[in-house]
Amino acid sequence: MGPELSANLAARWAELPAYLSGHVSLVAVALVIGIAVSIPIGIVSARHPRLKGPLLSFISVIQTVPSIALLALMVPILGGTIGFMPALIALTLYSMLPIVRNTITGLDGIDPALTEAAKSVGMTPRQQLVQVDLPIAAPVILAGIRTAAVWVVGTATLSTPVGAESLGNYIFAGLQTRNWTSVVFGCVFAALIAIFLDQMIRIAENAFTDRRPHTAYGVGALLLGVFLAGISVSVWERSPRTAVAGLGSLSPTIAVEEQQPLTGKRIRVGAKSFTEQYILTNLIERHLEARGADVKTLENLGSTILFDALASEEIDLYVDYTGTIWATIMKRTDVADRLTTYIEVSKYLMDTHGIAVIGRLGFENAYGFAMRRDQAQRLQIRTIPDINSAEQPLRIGADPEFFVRKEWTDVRAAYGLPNVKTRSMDSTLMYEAVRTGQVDIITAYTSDGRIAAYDLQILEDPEKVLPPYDAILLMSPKAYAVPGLADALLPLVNAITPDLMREANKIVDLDRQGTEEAGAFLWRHINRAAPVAPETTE
Amino acid sequence: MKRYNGRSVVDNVSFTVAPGEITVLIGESGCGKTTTLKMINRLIPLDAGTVMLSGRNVMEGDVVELRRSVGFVFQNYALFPHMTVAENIAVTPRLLGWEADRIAKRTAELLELVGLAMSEYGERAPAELSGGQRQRVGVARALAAEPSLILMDEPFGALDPLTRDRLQTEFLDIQKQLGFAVLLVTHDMSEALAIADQIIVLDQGRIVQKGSPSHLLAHPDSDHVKKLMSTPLRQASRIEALMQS
Ligand SMILES: Nc1ncnc2c1ncn2[C@@H]1O[C@H](COP(=O)(O)OP(=O)(O)O)[C@@H](O)[C@H]1O
Ligand SMILES: [Mg+2]
Repeated sequence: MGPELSANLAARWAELPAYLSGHVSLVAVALVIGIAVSIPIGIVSARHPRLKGPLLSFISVIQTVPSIALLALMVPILGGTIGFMPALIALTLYSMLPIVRNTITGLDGIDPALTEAAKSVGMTPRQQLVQVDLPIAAPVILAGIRTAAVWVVGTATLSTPVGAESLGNYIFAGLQTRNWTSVVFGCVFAALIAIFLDQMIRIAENAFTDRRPHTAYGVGALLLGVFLAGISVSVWERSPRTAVAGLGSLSPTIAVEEQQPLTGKRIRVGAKSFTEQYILTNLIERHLEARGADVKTLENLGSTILFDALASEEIDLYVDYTGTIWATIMKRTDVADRLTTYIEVSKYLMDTHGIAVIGRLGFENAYGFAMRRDQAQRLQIRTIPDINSAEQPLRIGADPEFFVRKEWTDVRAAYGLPNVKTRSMDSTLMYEAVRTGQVDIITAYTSDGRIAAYDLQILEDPEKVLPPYDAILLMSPKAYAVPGLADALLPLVNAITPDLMREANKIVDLDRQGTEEAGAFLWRHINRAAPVAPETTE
Repeated sequence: MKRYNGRSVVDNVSFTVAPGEITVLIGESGCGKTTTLKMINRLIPLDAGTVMLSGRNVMEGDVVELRRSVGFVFQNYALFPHMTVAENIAVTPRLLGWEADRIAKRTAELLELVGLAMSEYGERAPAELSGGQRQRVGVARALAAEPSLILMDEPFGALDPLTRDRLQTEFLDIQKQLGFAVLLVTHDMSEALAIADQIIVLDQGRIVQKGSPSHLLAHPDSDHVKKLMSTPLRQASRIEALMQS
């Protein structure tokens, strides 16, 4: 455990410059723009009371949109751009309310006698604003900026899914892979930034109140220095990316005829938060409801949350992947072949948790390094080590989870890849990114429908470094004991070929249909091969 | 002339402030004194009539220039709380673009003139001064850009009687020394009698009588003026009686 932990720590430290600088630049640019936009808006609305109400309610409405949704919405609004821009715009919008509101409050609170005095000594309206109104309102405005700063630092951790690098990468990746060190890194550094900004702005506020403007300017200069440092460290990494965003929704309304033997049984099926999982859940739901069960689905659970829910019998079954269990639950660091992995995973889960593996579904959803076929041919890259021979450094896009995974460390240990540039982005966006040339290589999921549709080529892995990821059906101990349930699921075992799964994924990810359609597609295929007949166990 | 909601609050008020003289506008609360004063430096726009300053109609010139050339002293001081005493005094010279040396010299000179040492008070915040000291700064600020006229709206009204008396006396000295013209608003006839060269009595937005203090004392035109005079007269006779007994 000791050397593993320190290796983990070292890896997290190594990521810090990129994530911290990414976070700081997002926060800095968002706050600077937020301040630059909000203070003038506050000034104008303080002077035009008729504007004040509508403006404040408009900004308040923005504020009520959950931050993660606001971030995600920016991607389609910007025509599919992911990365820095959508995160920046969402964070800027998010920062506006407290600054506008406090600017108005601060200016409204100025004694009218002072306004009159400013006129009487011969100030123009602009001089009055700069020399009297703003300095007097400054402590209140700064308090608004302080609130905004703390909000933005926290919300910026949610910009990972739209492809902007931030401390959120630690948190998202860590939650996916049970890497608590990573989660703690993200939280601690985000908290440190928040505390630092809060304290600095508080000092500036006090300085204004105590009429020590030089201290306030000093704090301002210090913050500017930190911001510029953050921006310059991260600026080389930034480039716009394009994405096809969107999630299917599942509204299970399936007509079923009553059959034995699960009639009336309540079965809870869990799913992780990606397309294939939603489709498989839909298929399982159809399959079990056709046998009379009352199926309840719980989707969008985090990968490790899902496993814990199964082990604690809060759900009855779900689909996981051998490689995931192998690495994140069994903490195995070696790589075995497909069958051995499957057998050892099954045995381990039964022995340690009483969890039953009903079987393999028939396809793998492994990591594969994928490149556009034409580019691969042009650069003469067929295998992962061929990447080393590229003249220009190639850009690898992957979901943030991948770069903290052992697979990535192993690939680098086996093949080097000193020259690549890594780009974290949500996995739903990376296929489009490689298709449009915003990155050169992605760590595709081998069951994804876009591999064939975009004519991507999976690079060979000659040393077999990348582990197998067979889709397997897991059941909780209690569910396994339900008579007939395990048997009822057997028709799904080995029923889904890789091509079939890719086709089903494509229906959602590319053809923009719902996961119900894709689930129905699988359902039709499986039942064409073997019509519904649960008792046919010849 | 000034109307609010169709009601005229200053009407047909016509008078001249002579150079180097102190003219006092007096009347009961709400009779239109402040309105009249603020129409002169255009804090309140006129609805009709003209204000002439050094032979020019103030409505025709630049309003900012006008205000920089006329000092204004407020009843509640209205010092800028985020500026030091010295910065408050230097405001108008700075706006006029005076050189730093000249501003520093003028500020120190004015502080001295109003009885506050630059070394002790220059860097203080207004909040760190007593009411009397604040109004000394208020007077210094109004005088900073060497105006030929200063407007004062009940400048000593918020002070205790001893402080008020001392400030009145000192202010008279300064005014005699520098020779600027003053238009001062008060509702206190004793104050008017003590400092005015000319007194203008306002009632409900109209002039009821104007003249020198001695003229008003000797020939009050109306019951209204008589009534205004009665308080200082009664006080004076009582004090006289006390002194004789
Ligand atoms: N902004 C305003 N709107 C309406 N009426 C006003 C306004 N300002 C002053 N007045 C009215 O004008 C009259 C004169 O006011 P003011 O010049 O302040 O009186 P004074 O200074 O003599 O006490 C008062 O009756 C007052 O109520
Ligand atoms: Mg008044």
